[in-house]
Amino acid sequence: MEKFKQQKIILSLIIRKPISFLSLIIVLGFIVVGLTAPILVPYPEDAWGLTYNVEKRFQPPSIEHPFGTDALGRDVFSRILLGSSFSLMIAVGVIGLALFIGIPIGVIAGYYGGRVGTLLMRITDMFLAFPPLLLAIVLAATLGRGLLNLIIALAISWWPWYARLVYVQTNTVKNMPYVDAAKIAGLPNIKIISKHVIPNALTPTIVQAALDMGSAILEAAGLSFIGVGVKPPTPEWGLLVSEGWQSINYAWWIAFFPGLAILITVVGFNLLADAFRESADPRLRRTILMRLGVKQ
Amino acid sequence: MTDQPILQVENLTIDYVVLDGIIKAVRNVSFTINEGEVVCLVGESGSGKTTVGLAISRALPENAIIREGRIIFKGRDLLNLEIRDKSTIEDKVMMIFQDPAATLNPLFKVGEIFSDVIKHHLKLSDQLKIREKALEFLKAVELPDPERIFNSYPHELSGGMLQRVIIAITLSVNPKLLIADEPTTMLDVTLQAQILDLLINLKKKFGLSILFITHNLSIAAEIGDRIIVMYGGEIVEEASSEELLKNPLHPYTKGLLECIPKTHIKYSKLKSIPGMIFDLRNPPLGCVFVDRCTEATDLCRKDKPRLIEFLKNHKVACHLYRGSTK
Amino acid sequence: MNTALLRIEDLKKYFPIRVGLFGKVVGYIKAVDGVSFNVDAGEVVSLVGESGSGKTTIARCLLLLEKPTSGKILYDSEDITQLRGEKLRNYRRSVQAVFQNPFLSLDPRMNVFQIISEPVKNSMKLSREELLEYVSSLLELVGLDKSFLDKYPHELSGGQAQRVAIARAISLKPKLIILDEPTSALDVSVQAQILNLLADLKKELSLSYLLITHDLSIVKYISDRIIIIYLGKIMETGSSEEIFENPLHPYTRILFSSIPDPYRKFGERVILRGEPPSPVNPPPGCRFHTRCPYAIDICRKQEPPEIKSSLIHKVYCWLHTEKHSSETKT
Repeated sequence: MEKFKQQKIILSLIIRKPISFLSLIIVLGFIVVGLTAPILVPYPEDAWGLTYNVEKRFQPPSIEHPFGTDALGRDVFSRILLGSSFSLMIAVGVIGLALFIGIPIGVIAGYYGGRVGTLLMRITDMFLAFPPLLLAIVLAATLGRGLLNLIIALAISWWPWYARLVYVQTNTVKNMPYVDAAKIAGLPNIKIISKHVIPNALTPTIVQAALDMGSAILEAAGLSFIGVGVKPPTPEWGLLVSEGWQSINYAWWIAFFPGLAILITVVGFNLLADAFRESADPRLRRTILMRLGVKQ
Repeated sequence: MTDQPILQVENLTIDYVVLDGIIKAVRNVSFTINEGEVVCLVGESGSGKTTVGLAISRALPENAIIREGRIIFKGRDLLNLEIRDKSTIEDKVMMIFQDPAATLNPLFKVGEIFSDVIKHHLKLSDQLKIREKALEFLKAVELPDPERIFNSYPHELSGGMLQRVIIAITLSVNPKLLIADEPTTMLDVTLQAQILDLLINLKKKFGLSILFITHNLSIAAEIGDRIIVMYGGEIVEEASSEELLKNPLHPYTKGLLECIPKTHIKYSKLKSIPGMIFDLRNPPLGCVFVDRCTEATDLCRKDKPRLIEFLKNHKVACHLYRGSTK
Repeated sequence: MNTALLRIEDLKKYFPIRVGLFGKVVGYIKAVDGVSFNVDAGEVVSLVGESGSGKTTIARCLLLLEKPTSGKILYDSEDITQLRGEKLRNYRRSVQAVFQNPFLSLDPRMNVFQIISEPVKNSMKLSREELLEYVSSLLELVGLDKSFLDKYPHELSGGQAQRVAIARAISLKPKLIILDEPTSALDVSVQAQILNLLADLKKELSLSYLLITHDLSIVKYISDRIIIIYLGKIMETGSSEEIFENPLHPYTRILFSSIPDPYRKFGERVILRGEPPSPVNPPPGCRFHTRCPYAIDICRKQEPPEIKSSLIHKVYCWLHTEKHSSETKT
């Protein structure tokens, strides 16, 4: 239908530009690997960190262990591979939870306004006033290490951004004449919100959220790196880097490969975000079209 | 008024590249504006009138492509200018728009915006002189209390005042040609009359030529010396405003005139033009108005009528007026 | 006989101006300041004024989108702000609206069928087939065919989109439709199409209209009665003929003079000087005196009384009181 044409065109624009295409491949690859890694890993015990093998420690990359082995003799490649599952889980968990808190607050504050709205937005502003990473560190440290705690800590430092975004959008949408028209038709508020306000107010937020996943992965890795994230032996990328950090002088591969994984994934997400913005902006579109030699 | 053309537009053809195709906004448009003349470009949405205005002031959006044509302003082709010549020409062709609030940066006071313009264009550096100059122009556009306006933010002023401020800023760079794109459409009728009145006064005072773009034939008839009627990206008729009203030739012009409700008649039914504008991505092969014209024949469908001078100083593009020149 | 469908009594709507974190009220925008009129069954009443006159606020109060500060809006001799339950639903169905810009009043994510069927689904129980048939018949009434059912607003022209908005407004079989500048966002050649359609629908469905506009030129064609409003107060009211043939208030005359007329040369009209004053501090006395070319002393001090020129032609102006009319006759 006509509605989806726009999205199709945006997608085709992304695919036609090499660097955007590459970023799309990276992101899709990350998601596919993340979903299938538990089955794919060559050394599952190493990956989950259930065993260790002191004889095989600090082996440089070889055919058997393409990324070498770590200080406990575990296959780094397996751990990185499984780590992608954890990163995906963290990204989806953080963004999902942040949206789960942020959307209702933004919609209620925006649609009903008044005292309740003011109160909700003041609370949101209080959270926004903290530097988000610092807030996440404090929360993670208070809650203790663990995957779930890490997700909660990050989501709490994250939701205010979505609440703000949704609030602003809701405010715009609720003053649109089509919302007035729905009120005049006698629709109850709950229907107006679900049928008109949410569908029209949410698109930018959802897009933003999907593109924020790269940053969520980066922040989670950061927290794990400084020791307030997941518990060892979870093969989370940030934790892997931190584990390899001590032996960087004589076994560079232990920290290097997980670092590379973080870099590629985060850059992939960010490039895709840029490509998306570029294709969705009609003013930038022509430059892309021209560069692509589209028949004009 | 001399008959020296200040602006000549020749065979202007402009496309817009959009996601799902190419909009053929303006096709083969040619006209002239003489010195001191007010020419009105009249058309409805999709007529290409604004695109013509943007092309002359060289403010076309990024996705517009000028396929063909020349825009000659005082003997120089605006479309082939060296970069260093551009700024000098820009001073002489200025454009004002429909929404005055969107034209001024809301973060700066009127005075700050105005001073920047004057500093840049008149090469003045003395703050006091700049201010004096700005106040002088604010007075020229009949704004009450220019001092207060100079120190106001755009949001503190009404739509009518903002439009005056913009006209004042525009005049301060001493333009020769002013392109006004629906400058009164967003205003109330009483303010609309004020702004039109002001434009005519300023035209005389500053020796301006004006290209006035509007959808409203009544306004065009009141202030224009000459009217050019556009439809679907092409010119369909051109004549002096008295002639056009007295003796409209093109069926579209006739229809447009009949659509204006006259206050002294009680209608049982208002006249309208049935149908709507064609898809601009696929302009018809023949006459642009053929789908809505009651007098269309097979010829109109197949063959595009050329704009000919059917009567003296009265051009029309319609097969009804072929051959039998009076 | 004519019975009042809707009666508005001394309606006032003040919007508080709030500043600071706690929203301290520092003043009021007096958008509507004591307006009374009624709309009879089968009648078209036009509310004419410029921006800031309060005409749209009146409409929003009638549509229950704003709560009046004081005054009454009576429908079937009951105050609409007090309606609850079935009576409220009944009022909602009876009073519908068409707005200025159809592209803003139609949800861009819904197709034409969804847009028109939404109010119907909410208030009537119809099967999918019945609904489809009903919506198609509405489309036909507004001059569109079935092929429009699955189109989205951005695929429509302005005129078509406004027809869809009209179809939605008549879908609940209302008695009164509030038309808020229904043609001012449309092209001239399409404006007439829409006005003709509205006039036809009125006859066919025996509707009443409250037409809100700043454009006097479209008013004469369609309206029975005209109310001229300025800064939240009524200046003049009368039948369409009376207002057009014998406008009494200086403001009304100036409004007429401001209508662009292709057959009049520039400079032949009275141009109103100055800007409308702020509705926060409306001028004392007659609201129009700051811009009125004929203002006399008393206009600046005292509110003008109601002068009846005929049974329904009333003007609020000192110049037409017996004492002053001789001074200003020209």
